[in-house]
Amino acid sequence: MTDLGSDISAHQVVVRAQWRTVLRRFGSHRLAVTALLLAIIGYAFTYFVEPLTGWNYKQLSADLSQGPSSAHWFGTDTIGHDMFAQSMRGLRVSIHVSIVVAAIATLLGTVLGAVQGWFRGRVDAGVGVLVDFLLILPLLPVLMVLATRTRAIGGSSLMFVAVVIGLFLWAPLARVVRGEVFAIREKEYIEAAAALGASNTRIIFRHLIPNVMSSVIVYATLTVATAILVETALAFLGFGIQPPEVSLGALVDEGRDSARTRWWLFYLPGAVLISLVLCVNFVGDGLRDALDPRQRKRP
Amino acid sequence: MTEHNDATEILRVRDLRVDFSTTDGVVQAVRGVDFEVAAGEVLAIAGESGAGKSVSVMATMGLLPSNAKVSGSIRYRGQELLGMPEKSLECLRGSALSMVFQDPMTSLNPVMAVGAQIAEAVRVHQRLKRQQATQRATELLDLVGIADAKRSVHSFPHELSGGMRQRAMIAMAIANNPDVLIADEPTTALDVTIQAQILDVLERARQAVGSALVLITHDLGVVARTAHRLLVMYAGRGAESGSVDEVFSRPNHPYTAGLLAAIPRLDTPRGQRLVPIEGSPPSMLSPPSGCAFAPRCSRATETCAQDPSPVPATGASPTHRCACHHPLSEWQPLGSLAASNGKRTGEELAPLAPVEHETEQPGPILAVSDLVKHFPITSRSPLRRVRGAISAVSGVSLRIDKGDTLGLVGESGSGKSTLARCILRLIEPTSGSVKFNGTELTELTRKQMRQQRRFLQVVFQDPMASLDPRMTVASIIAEPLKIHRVKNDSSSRVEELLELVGLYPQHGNRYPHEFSGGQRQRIGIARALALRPEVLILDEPVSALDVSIQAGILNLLEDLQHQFGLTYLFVAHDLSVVRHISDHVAVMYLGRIVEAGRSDQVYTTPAHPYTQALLSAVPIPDPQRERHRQRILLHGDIASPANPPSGCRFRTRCAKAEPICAETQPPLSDPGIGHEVACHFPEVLVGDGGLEPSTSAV
Repeated sequence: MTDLGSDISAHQVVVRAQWRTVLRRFGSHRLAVTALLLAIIGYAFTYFVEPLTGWNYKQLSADLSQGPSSAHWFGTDTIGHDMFAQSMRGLRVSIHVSIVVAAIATLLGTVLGAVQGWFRGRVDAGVGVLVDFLLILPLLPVLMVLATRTRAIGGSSLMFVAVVIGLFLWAPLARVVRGEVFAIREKEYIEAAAALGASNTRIIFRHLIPNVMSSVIVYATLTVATAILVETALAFLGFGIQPPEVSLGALVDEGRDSARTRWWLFYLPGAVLISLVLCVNFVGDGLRDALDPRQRKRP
Repeated sequence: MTEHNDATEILRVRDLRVDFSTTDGVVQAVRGVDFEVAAGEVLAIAGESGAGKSVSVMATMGLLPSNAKVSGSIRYRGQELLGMPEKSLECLRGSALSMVFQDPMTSLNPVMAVGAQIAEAVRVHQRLKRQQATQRATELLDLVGIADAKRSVHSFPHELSGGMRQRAMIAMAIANNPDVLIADEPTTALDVTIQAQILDVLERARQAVGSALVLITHDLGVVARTAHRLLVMYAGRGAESGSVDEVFSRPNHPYTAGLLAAIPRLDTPRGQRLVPIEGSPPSMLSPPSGCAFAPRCSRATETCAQDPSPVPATGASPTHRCACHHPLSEWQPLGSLAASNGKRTGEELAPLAPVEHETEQPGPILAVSDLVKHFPITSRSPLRRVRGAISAVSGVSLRIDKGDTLGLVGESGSGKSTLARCILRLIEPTSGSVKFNGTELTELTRKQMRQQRRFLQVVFQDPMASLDPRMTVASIIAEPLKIHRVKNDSSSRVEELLELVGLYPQHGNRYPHEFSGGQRQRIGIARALALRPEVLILDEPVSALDVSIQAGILNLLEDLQHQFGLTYLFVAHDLSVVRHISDHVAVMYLGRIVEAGRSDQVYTTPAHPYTQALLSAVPIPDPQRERHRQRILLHGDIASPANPPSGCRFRTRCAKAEPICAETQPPLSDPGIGHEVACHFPEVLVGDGGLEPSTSAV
């Protein structure tokens, strides 16, 4: 009864769970693994800054406006903050904020977009109005107003800022997912699942969403970058995260005026910011390759 | 056909090799092909997908992408084309050598009027005024049978039907009286009645300009109908070549013989088992050094795999060449050839007796009555007002008994797939009833319907698109078990199912894209069988597969039916396949059934003019029989379902149409011939479109 044999050899078959296959493929993507390790090490390192250097981000030292030295690796600012401690603190805060933002935006965008694409009709129109509304809203002014109005109820807390940004950033992803679902829903495997008696929930979560995952992951990566930028802009305008708390964005903005005279205040936190965004992008790249078996064959 | 042998040779291809460098490595698409074309002859190049037939002719035209490396020799009237400067090639292309492509929609420019495109082709090679060129375009359109050519000159491609566009393509190809016309699968995208028209036009056009024709096709029936000589390609090499009579009656290469034995034929009754060619073609990334067909060949010996590939050698006839170490030079009846080629035991080869079940219940297992499906056409304004309806299915009734196979045949646009989806309620029918085991499916709630789906399963056409690319094969097959919370051990059931459809149980953890087309279709069948259904709806299950693979799937379906007493609704456009597998058959045209009954009766004594034309349009892979067949050519195209003709929907294309046909719709009834026909003037044709040798002229 067998008509194969010629193109599939039976001996190399190893039973492997799906997630392990993905992990193995991710593992073979060296740049992504390096980037992920760097990001993790960098994040973990932020907890060891004080024991290592003796400085924390709130402390003020007597050395004002010093360049990088063995005492202050990234130098100090005009009032004596240790810039390395500040940068590492900013890195941690930026990672926290962007992960929360990306998680909220990705979850909302993917699910709502898939629901729109699958049900079409009124559901699509209803969510669509919300998406359009969010897309035309100028993000920064709205966030600024929100920040001033809500300061009393914790408007400057880290989580609050992250959640609010997340609630505003899901709309573009919902559009992308909706469009892709429109294409995928016509595929026969969706029809096959419906013919098997699969429920709407099952079709959405087992068939539609996994098949848009590569775009979702790419988009989530972009969202992380966007989140850092939005938070940066907010911090620059004096909203969102307030001193003594710091974020990478706030540090870069503070250092911007002195970029020519005291370069370390601008370029060093900036380098940390860029490294973070690059790492996130490489990880996203590797994940996409690992999750999309059709794109696996790469030279 | 002897006249062509000593005629002047205009195209000579020797040792043609084409390599594509891709990210995966070098794909050796063509690995040494020889052929020649004489003036005025029709050479068919046949083979399955990936055999290198299209690449060979594209190389001849100099139309390959830049990552292709071409070597060998291509001589046109003694002139070497390989390495010729692009400028001189351009002069030849379109005037000496011209081409008709497969997809007439993408090969015509959508923003240019058809006439303007033809005129452009004329003016590239001839010094003509614009007006003269347009005049010539009109003449050409008239020649290829486009009605009202004066007006059609100004039509845009989207205003023409598929058949009309292909005619326009042919007009463009012959515009400069080429010596060689190359047609790359010119009818593959078309329905069988349109195919018959186009083959006719192609022959007429070819004779009008006196060119030779190189016809690339995968359909041996088309070869038998049109060609003088045939080259069979396999894995980038020529396997066998010769005159069609020689090759079809005495195939020397086991592959050619295998292909002929794998095709279900319109002129063989049900019950004969097909002989699939086991395995699949080699990867062209690392083709075997020996004979590429050896792994699939039953005659293969050790020399075949080890020795360098066999070179084409002549056999009994000087024109008949075959590249095989062990050619079937002695003439053997086709049946025994086939048997020796298939790696099957004699016991499995025995023709299947019609399935009889002692536990047969009275009454049909599936009964559809008066099923109607209208798709509303809405306006684009936000109000979405309904402007009209596409009547895809309009009042169809059919019944299937337990253990039976009903073949539902029709061309594209006949509504057969919509009907299948309405039965499954993947599309909600507008009205009508579907009774399954006595349960009215159309009245069930979603939840109740979900329960019924266990017993009513479906296999789709495209084996790639019907499997979720993100899921392993095991989880695909286990999905129905999970959905319906079947308690027993699902992993052992999955293994059992994989084995049942002829796959290795160890392959469950692989992804669909790692399998070949035929294997993927087997996975689809395994999934459909997981819940032990009673009825399987098969929607064009083999139309995306090559013939050698198709035979294996058809045999599997027959075995499964035999083993489990399954009932099939087999939806297909291929009449030969339907004849092979069906007990009963229903012919659909524009949303209605025009003829239905036992399949042997419908096929041998069709009474509806549409069925007769349809059967006569199907080419039979037998050149001698093809030459003596009576043809019924249908005019025009299938009418639009958005605005179907009144009364009998076939009347616009029917030669027998009378005023009454426009007034009343003929009911489906038996005029005393043993099966039902929906025609006001049913008439049984004896010696119809070639199923039996035409006994007598009228």
